[in-house]
Amino acid sequence: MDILHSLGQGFFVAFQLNHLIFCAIGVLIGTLVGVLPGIGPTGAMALLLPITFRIDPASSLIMLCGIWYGCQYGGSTTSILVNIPGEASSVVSCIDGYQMARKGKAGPALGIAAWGSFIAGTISIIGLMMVAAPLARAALSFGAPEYFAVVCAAMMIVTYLAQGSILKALIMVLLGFFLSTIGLDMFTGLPRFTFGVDGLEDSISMAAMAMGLFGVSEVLENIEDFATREVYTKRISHLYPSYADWMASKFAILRGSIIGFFLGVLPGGGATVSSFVSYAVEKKVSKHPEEFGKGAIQGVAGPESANNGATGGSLIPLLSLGLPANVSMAMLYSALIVQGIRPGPFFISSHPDLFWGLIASMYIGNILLLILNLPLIGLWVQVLKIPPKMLLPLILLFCVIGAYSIDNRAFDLHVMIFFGVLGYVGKKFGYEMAPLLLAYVLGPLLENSLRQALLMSRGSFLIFFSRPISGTIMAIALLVLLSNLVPFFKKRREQYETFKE
Amino acid sequence: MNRDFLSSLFWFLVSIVICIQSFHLGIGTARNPGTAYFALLSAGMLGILSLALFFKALFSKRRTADQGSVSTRTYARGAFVVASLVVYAIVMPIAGYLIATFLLLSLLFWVFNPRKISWLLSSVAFSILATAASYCIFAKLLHCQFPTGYFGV
Repeated sequence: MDILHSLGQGFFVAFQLNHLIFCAIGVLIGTLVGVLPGIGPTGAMALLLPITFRIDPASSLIMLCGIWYGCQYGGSTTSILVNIPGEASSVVSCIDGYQMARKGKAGPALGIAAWGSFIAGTISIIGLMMVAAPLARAALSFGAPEYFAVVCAAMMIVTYLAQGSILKALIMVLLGFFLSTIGLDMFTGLPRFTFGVDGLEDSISMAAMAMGLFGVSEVLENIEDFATREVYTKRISHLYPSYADWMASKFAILRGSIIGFFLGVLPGGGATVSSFVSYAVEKKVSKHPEEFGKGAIQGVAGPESANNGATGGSLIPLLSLGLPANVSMAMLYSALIVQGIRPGPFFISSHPDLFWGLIASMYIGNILLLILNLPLIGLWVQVLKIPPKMLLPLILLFCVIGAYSIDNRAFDLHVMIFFGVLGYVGKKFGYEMAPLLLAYVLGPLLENSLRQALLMSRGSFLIFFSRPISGTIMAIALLVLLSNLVPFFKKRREQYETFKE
Repeated sequence: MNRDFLSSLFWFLVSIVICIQSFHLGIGTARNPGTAYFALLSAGMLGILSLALFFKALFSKRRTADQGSVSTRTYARGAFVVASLVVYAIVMPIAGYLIATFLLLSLLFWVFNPRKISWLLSSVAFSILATAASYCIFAKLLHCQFPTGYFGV
């Protein structure tokens, strides 16, 4: 009853005209960003960050979240119609989605993707509603050692789930931690690692960094490939899946929703990992695995449900612990901090209108997305025909405006360019940029917790292992770290066996 | 040469620079951690991991996965975009948002599209449109403060 009462209050907030407008703007931009390859939800959220300073916290939270989950909807359109993923989380949908389109089943593929997304999105909101508040209450007993342990475990899981080399992901994490120390020391007020550059005394702007890493570097990468996209031009019909399609997809949608929700909670998990896991699970449980890759509807329904299921899950660690689980959540974290609101265990109790308003707006946003993605599919097909050559300068323009207008400093433009080049070169050398940005966001929390815990324990590192909660979390972190080494030893053993033979 | 080999050396050098700077700033003790204590720990671990990557690259028979061949022309275009942005960051506070942004966009539209005289006019037209639209939305509607520069525009 308590939840229903709170949800009712949330709908009261969400149905206010300004909140409805920002919800619609968010999901519209999210879908647009999802449809267009080149700029992801993080870049889009970074671009709109300066706007959020001038609107009330609820509107900004509702709009940014709308971009985040709207993006997951829009990504499938490009995957199915063009065979180019709009987002990393829609890569898997290309496999069977495009094959379905080639067989003239673009309508059912888009339809099941949209309906699956809607169902998974709704399930994940219910999960968020049920889990976030109890977890926040439990987190009230956390002290500095527990927070240190949680951040350590989170970063270990982020590196474990990294798509490339774990060693390189760890290097990026440590670089992010170092970058977070640049600027004034919060304990002493002294400048550190500024190397005589005045602009660095205010620390590195997170939005400028994000725009460089995810906006400018994407543009530089896109310059390499100006190939014209072949857009599906036939009339798209049968957007409402048939009874047979529903029967074939119902369990895939359910499994995808659950996988997405739970993997979304994990740091570094999120939409991309869950869509890959969902596809693998669907192929594994299918009676006809040979149909996968040739246009199996479950290969679209599962991953598309999973990437939307992850949206609600990803919000849980942010809103109840103050820990962003992925880079998009880091942007949301940044937006809340700028508004003077600190996400964490007190967030739900201090700002119930914000929390429940956001949840209610997500229900509304999901319905809006269904309308945007089904009847208006023709519009998105037209958007896909805009040549990248026209889009790239505009993306750069948005990056420039976004980076500059946060603090009105030209220095932030230099920061953006630096990280744009770093992101581009880093990708060429096989480094992922998401762990860097996440570590940069979590760095101050980790440093403060470390210093406070060491002061509490008079210099003993055992404090992280002697307290029950922090000890358990540290053990999990160590297990994750050690599990990274298992394949290494396995490979060495195999080499030894081969040598012996 | 293996790309990991190069990048590991780079990160090792970065870690050394941070460690030296940390000692200058003061690391304190475990009982009373100093201002650069956390940075030193991060840089120390960065150094160790970069060495691990170095030896992994050294003893690895495989070369780093090819990231795809990119033509010199593409690199030149990328370098031009970066250089334009750097110049823009310097010029914008002096020339003002409207003039600097118009020039930047004209250049970018020109570089990304076929460089024909007929396209030059279109580039200029698109740039005027995009600059004016961005100014109306961000400066007028959302009250972002852009520099007006010496020309006052």
